[in-house]
Amino acid sequence: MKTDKMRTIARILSVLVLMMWVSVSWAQNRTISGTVTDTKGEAVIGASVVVKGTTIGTVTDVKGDFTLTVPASAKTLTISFIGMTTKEVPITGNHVNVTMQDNSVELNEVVAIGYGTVRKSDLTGAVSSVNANTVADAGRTSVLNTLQGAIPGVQIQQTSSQVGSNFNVVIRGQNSISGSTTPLYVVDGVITPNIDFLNPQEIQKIDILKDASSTAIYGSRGANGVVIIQTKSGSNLTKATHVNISYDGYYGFVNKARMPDFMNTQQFMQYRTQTYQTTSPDANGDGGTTFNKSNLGGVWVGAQTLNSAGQPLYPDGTFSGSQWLLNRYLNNQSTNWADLVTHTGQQQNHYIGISGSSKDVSYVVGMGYQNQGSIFVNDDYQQYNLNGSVHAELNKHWTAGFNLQTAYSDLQTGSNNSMVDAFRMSPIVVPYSNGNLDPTQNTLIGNIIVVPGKTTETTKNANGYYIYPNSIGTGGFTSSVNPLIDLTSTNNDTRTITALGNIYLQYSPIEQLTIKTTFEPQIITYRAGFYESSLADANYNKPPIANVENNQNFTYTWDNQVNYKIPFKNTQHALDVMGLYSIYAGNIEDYQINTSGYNYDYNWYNLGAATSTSAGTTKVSSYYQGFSMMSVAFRANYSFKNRYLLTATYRTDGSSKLAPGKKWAAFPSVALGWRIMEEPFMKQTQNWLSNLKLRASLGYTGNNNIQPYQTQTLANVTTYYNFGSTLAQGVAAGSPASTVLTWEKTRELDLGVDYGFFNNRLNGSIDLYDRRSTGLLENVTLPLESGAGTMIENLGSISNRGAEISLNAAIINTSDLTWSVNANFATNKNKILNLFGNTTPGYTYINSSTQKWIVGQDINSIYGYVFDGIWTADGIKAAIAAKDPRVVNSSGKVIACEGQAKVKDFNGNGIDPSDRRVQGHSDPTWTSGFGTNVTFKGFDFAVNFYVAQGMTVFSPFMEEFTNFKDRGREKLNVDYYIPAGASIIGPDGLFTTTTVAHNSQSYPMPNNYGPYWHTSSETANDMPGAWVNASYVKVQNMTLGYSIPKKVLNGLGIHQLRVYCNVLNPFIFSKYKGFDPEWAGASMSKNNGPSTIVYQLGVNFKF
Amino acid sequence: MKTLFMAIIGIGSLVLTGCSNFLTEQNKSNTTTDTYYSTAAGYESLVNACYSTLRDVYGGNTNGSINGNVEMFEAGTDLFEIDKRTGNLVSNNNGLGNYMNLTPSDNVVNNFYTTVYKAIKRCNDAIHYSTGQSTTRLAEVRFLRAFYYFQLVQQFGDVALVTDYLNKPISSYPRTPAKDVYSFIISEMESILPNLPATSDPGRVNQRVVNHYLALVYLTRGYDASLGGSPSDFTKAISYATAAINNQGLTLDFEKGVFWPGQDNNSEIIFSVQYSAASLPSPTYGNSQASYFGTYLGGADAQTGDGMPYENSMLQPTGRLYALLCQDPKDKRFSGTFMQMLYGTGTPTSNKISFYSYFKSSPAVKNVMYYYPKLTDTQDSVNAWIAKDPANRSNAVIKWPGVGAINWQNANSADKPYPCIKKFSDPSSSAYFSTSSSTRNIFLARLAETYLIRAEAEINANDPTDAAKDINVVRARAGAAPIAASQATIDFVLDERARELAGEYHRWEDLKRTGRLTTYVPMYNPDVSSSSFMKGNDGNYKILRPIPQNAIAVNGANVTQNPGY
Repeated sequence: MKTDKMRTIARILSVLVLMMWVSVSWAQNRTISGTVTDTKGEAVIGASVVVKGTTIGTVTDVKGDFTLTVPASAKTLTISFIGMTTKEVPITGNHVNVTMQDNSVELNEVVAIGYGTVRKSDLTGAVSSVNANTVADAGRTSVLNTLQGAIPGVQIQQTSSQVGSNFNVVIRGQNSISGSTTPLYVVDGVITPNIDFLNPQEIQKIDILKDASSTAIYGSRGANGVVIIQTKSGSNLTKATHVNISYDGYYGFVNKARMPDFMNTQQFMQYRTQTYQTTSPDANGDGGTTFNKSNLGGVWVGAQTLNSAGQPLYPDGTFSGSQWLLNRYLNNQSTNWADLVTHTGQQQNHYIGISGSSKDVSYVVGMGYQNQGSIFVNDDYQQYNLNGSVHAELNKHWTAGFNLQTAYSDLQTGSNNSMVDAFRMSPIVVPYSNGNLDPTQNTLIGNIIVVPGKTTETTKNANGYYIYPNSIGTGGFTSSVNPLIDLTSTNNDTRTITALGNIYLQYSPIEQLTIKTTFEPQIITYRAGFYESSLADANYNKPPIANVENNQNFTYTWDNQVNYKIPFKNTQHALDVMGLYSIYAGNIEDYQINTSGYNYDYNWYNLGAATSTSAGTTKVSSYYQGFSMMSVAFRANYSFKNRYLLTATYRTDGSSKLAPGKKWAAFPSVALGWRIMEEPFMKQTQNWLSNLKLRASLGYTGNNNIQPYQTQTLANVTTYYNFGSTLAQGVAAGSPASTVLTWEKTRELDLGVDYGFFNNRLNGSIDLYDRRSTGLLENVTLPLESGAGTMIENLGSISNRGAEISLNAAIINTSDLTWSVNANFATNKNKILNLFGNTTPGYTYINSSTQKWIVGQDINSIYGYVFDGIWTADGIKAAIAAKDPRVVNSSGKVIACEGQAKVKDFNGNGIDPSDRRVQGHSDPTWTSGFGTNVTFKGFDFAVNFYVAQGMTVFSPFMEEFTNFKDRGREKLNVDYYIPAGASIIGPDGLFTTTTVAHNSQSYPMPNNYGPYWHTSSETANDMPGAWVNASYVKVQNMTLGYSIPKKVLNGLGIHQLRVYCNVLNPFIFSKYKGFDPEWAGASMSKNNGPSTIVYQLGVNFKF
Repeated sequence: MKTLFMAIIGIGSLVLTGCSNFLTEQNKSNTTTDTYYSTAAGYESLVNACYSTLRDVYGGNTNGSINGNVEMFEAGTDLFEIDKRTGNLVSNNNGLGNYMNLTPSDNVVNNFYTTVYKAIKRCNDAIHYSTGQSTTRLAEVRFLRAFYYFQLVQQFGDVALVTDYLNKPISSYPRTPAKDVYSFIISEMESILPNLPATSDPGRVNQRVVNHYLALVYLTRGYDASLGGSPSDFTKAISYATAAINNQGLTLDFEKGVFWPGQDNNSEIIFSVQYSAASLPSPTYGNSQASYFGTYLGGADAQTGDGMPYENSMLQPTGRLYALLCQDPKDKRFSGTFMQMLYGTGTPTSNKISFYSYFKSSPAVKNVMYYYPKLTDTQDSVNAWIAKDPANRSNAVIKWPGVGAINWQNANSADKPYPCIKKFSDPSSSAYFSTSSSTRNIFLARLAETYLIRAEAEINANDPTDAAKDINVVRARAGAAPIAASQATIDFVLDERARELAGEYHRWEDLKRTGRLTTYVPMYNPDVSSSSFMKGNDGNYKILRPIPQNAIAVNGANVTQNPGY
C-alpha cells in the first residue's frame, strides 16, 4: 500500500521532470518572439506567456526570451509570473518587449480569510499579511519572532533568552482572564496548537485575521485572532512549468550582549559591609540614626568579633577575617561567573525547496535543518523538517491533492539553575580550588568547588589565631551549588515529532460551484526527559531524580465546503456563498514516570534502576483527554458595482467541553466595504489618490480555552477510614463542576480605511476597534458554606480598544535605486469591566503575589505603593517637625529612618492600603514597527526597528539583584544610599565611618530599605524596587545583501544567487537595567539570561 | 444544480443528526460522580468518604499542617490553658485560648468552619446519590450531616443550612436561625433512627449513637428557650440517654479498660473517629489529639523505638483540672489521665525520657526520672512510693505541684513542669517527629458521658436522686466516693465531666451549654484573668465564635457578625 503510493509519486515526479523541459505549441499562422524583463532590466525567467482566452502558451527561457506561434485571430498576450503583476500586451508586431512590475504593493494580492481567499481590494475585514521574504529575511529561527513589529496590533514578545523559549502573542489586547492569548494557528488549513515546528524558510505567506468579522468564520476559536500560514508546500503551488530548486541558508553566531552592570569584588564588598550593620531611628526621636555594627566582622567571614577599635584584627595585629578574601579584595579580583556558563553559540538554518508542475500536476518538496545554538552552555535546539505536496487536476471537474508537513525537534535546555546561580554568585567567590595557598591565584584550575559560597577550611597561625588562607575559605555567601556543577548535573531534553497534513478532493460540476472535502489529521508526540543528580542545585544532597513523560496528541478535522458563485445576468452584482460543515476531534494520551534514588547517572534511560536502591521511589501517572467539536458555517460575499461590498458570516459551534444543553453557540458577523475610489465622482482625484476604501465590521467570536471535563464532577479524591479492623477507603467528589458553563464571547467593532496615493507608492490602512469580551471563564471562589473551593463560572468582562496604522512607501523607485519604508503603529487600551460579577471600579482581586486585577484597570496592572525617593537625614528631621505620619506614628514614635525607601502618602494619614495606586501595566501602551529597505544595483540593505512603549513590569531580575536584604549574592551595581555615620570599607579592607551621607534618591541603604522596597510579610505585593519601566526601542536586524547579476548567473544556469550578512538585535535603547527589556518580566528560575546579538552569513540560491 | 445543492445539505444534516453523541465527553482517565456513585461499590466508597471527614474535623492530618481544631473544644476553658513552655499556641494563634485576641480572622475558627462545611458538602453529595442505594447508609450520612450542624450551631449560633447538592455556582448563603437548625437536627436524627441497626461495626452510626446524640441535642436545646428549648426537652434527653445506655454498666477499668492503647473499640465506646494504622496512607496522617495534650518528651531513646523525641503541647492543664482530679484521693482517674511517672535514663537535662516505657509489659527502661505527686500527697507518701521500688525511683525528680495555687506559668520545657495527659498516647506510632501521627481513635461519645448527660438532664428535670445515681455509676468505676442527691448540681456534673472527660472535645461546649462560660473561664483559666477579656469592643461577651472573615467576604448574602466581634 505504502509502496504503491510511493511508486505513484515517483512516477508523477518522473513524468514531471520530462515534461518541464518540453513545451509544445500546436497552433500555426504566425510566430511572435519577445523578451520579458523586470523593472531593473533583468530577464524574467520562466514567465508564462499565454494567448489570452486560449491554452496556447509558453514560458520564457533563461534570457527572458520566448517564441510563440499564435493563431491569426490572437490579439492579446497574457504574461504572468509569480510575485509580479500580470500584464496583458496587445499583439502589434512580431516582437514584443515586456517590462513586468513587482506586485508586492499590489491591490490584486490575494488574502486568506479562512476557508477561502479574496482579493485584497474586496476585503471587508481587518487582515494583515506578511510575505515570504519578510519572514525569511529576518534571519530568525522562529516564525513568530519574525512577525514581531511586522504587523500593527499583533504584539509578540519573547519570554526569555533560553533556546526554544516561547513567545507571547497578543492580538488586539488580552481578552481573557483565565485563558491564554494564543491565537488560532492554521497551517495549510490545519489548526495546530503552535507553529514552532515550522522552519521560517518554508513560509509562503502569513495572513493574520484581526477583527471579528474575519475571525468569525472560526467561531468559537477565533477570539484571540487567527494566524493563517501558507507554507511553500501548501495549496498555493507555483504554476511554473519548470523545476525550481532553491536553497536558503545561513550560519550565525550568538553572543551575549548588553550585560547588566553587576558589582565587581570591591563594589560587592562595599555593599556587603552595608548589609552587616543594622540601622534604626534614634531612641530619642530626634530623627538621628543609630547604627548597630556589632556584626560587621561577618563581612570578612572569619572575623566574628572585632577588636576594640572595631576592626577585624587579632590582638597580634593580624587580619582576623579571611586573608584570602582580603587579597581578592585588595587586588579587586572578580570572578566572571556569567562567562563560565555562557559561550558563543552557533546557529544554522538550511532549507531546500523543490517545486515544479506540469499542465495538470504540481508538486513541492522541501527539506530543512535548523540548529539553534544558545549562549548557554548545554542549551541546544535542532529541528528537521520534511514536507511535500502534490496537487493534481484530474480532469475538468475533479481536483485532488495532499500536503504533508513533518518535523522532528530536539530541545535541550540544560540545567535549570546554572544560569541564575551563576548570576547570583558574588564576584569574590571562586569556582575552582587550586589546592595551594597562593592568595593571588585566580586562574581557573584545580577542582570544582561544590558549594563555592559556603565551604570553609581553616588553619591557625603561629599565634594560634585562625587564618583563612585557602581559596575555598569563602564561607557564608550562599549555599547555591556551583553552577558549573549544576550544568553537568541536570538534563532537560524534549523531543517532539509533529506531523500534519491534509488530503482533499474537489468537485466542480459547473464553473460556479465547487464542492470540496478535506481531511486534516495532525499528530504531535513528545518525550520530555528530566534528570537531576544529587549535586544539582535544586536537588542537592537528595537522591537523584529522573522523570520522563510521553505525550501523544492526535487530532483531525474534516471540512466539507461548498462554494457557489451565484450567476447574475446583471454583472453589477457579484455574490459568492460558502457553506461549511466541519468536525474536529482529538485526544491526548500522556504517560509519566517520576523516579528518584539512583546510584549511577543513567539520566532517564534506566528508570527501573530506581527500585534497586533502598531510597528509590517510582511514581507512575497517566491521563487521557478527548474532545470534539462540530461546526456549521456560512459566508456570503456580495459586491455591487464592484464598489459596495458586504460580507456576512455565521458560524455555529458545538463543543464537547461545555455542559449539555450549553454546548452550542452561534457567532454571527457582518462587514461592509465601500471602495470610494470606484465612484465616478472620484475620477478627478485619481492622479494622486489611487486607492480609498472604507470598511466597517461587527462580529462575535468565542473562546474555548478551557480544558476538557470542566463540566464533569469527578470521583477522584481518595479518602481513608476504617471501621475497627475493616478498612474503608473512600472516593469523594473532586471540585464541583458547573453544569451551566458556556462560551466566552467577544464582540468586536472595527472601522478601517485603506488608502493609497501616487499610484499606490504610498499606501496603508488605518483601523479602529472596540472589542468587548463577556462571559469570561473565571475560577471563582465559592462561599465557604458551599463546602467547595472554586468553580469555573462565566463571569467577568474585558474591553480592548485600540488603533492601528500602517504605512508603506516606495520613496525612490528607479531601476538602479529603490528606497522603501514601511511603518506601523498600534495602541491598545485594556480594561477590566467586570470581575467575578463585580463592576465597581477599583474592586480588586489578588491574583498572585505580583499581580492584582482591578475593575476599571488594565488586566496586567502594577498596583501598590508609589515610590517617592529615599529618606535623607534632613528629610526625616523635617518630617518629624511636620509630624509626617510616615515617620512619626500616632504614639509619637519615630518609625522611619534615613536611607529607607519612601512611598507617597496620598491622604496624609500615614501609609495604609488606600495609598496604593495603579502604576502602569506590563503590556505596552503602544508598539511600532519600522523598516526601511534600500537597493542599489545588486546591493540591498534593510533595517528594522521594533518599539514597545509604556510598559511597567514587575521584574524578577530587579527583585533579585536589588534585594538589599541579602548579603552573600551578587547585586546590580547601583547607586545606593549610605547615611553619614555608617561604616564603609576602606581600600585596605578595614572599616571607617563616613561623615558625609552618600545621597541616592533611587536606591535605599542595603539592609535598611524600609518596609516599602521589597517583600515583607505585610506588603508582599508592594515592591517599588522591582517595578521598572521596561519600554524599549529595538533594532531588530540590519541586513546587507548582494545579488549576483543575472547576466553572470545566466551563464552558470543559476536563476538567482544572493549573499547577505545579517545582524540581529544590534542595538536596544531602554532604561531597563536588567538583561533585556523584552523579557524583563521573566522569572529568574529557568535560565532567564542576557540579551544577545546574532551575526549571520547567508545565501539564497535558486536554479 | 439546485438538487445537488439540496442533496449536499441533506447529507450534511444526516451527518449532523447521526452523530448526536459526537459531542458527548468521553473521560477515560477519570470516573464522574454520576457514573461511579450510581454503583453500589461507588456509593459505599462515597459513604466511607463521608466518615473520613470526621478525621479532617477532629484529627487534623497531612503532617500537622491542618490541626485537629482541638482548640475549638478545649482551649479557653477552665481545664486547659495556653501552653507556657514553648509558647506554641501563643505564637500560632492564641485567640481561642484567651478570647481577647479572638477575631473573625482566627485561623482555627476559619479552618473548623471550612472543614465542617466541606464535610457537609460531602454528605450532601452522598444524599444526592442515594437513590436506589442502602437506606442504612443514607441514614448514616444524614446523621453525620445533622451531627455536623449540631457542632456548627453550638459554636456559631445561626449558620447557613445547606442541604442541596451543589451543581452550579451559588454565591449567597444567608444564615439560618439557630432555632431552625436545631429543629432540622432533631427531625433528621429522629427520622433516621428506625433505619439504623441497633449495633454495627465500630465507628459506624447505629441507633445507640443517634440516641446518645439526641439526648445531648435535647439537653443542649433545653437550656435555651430562644432555640425552641423547653423543659420537655430534658425529659426527651433522659429517655434517649436511657435508650443509649441500654442498661449497660461501666464495668471496664478507666485506665486499663477504656483508655489503654490497643483497646480503642471497647464496649463503652459509642462513637469515635477511627484510626487504624493500616488505614493511614502514611504514618503522619494520624491525628493530633495526643500531641495537643501530651508533652511527649524523648530523645535518643526514640531511636530504639521507645519514645518520642518531639516535644509538643499546645494546651496545658490548668491547676483546676489538676485539683479536680486530686479531689478524691482514691479517684483512679488522676493516674489514669496524667502520666505521673516519667521514665527515662541519663541525666534530666539530657532529655532521655522514655515516655512509652510505661505502656510496655516489660519496659526496657524502668527508671523514673520525674514524679508528679498529687496535691494531697506529702513527703511521707512520696517516700512510701519510692520505697516500693527504690532502685528505680530514688533518683526521681519530684515535681511538687505547689501548695494551694499551682503555678506552671513561667516554666520552661527543660523543667518538665507539669504532667502530661497520657490517656491518648499511642506507643505504636513510628513517626517520631510528627504531631499528627497518633493512630488512637478519638472518642467522641462513650457510655460514661451518656450517664452524665442523663444526670444533667435529670437535674434540670428536678430529679436529683436519679442524677446522683447516674453520677455515682461513673464515680464508682473510678473508685471515688459516691455523692448524695443533695450534691447533684449542674456544677457538680461539670466537675465530674472534667474528671471523666478531660481533653475529649467537650469542655467548651459543656460550659456554653450550661451557661458557665463567662463565670468559669475567668475564675479558673490564668490566661483570662478577668471576664472583660471575654468582651468584645461592642461590650458583648464572645459567647459564640466569630463567623470567619473569609466566609463573610465571599458570601453574597448579608451576613451579620456574631456579638463581640
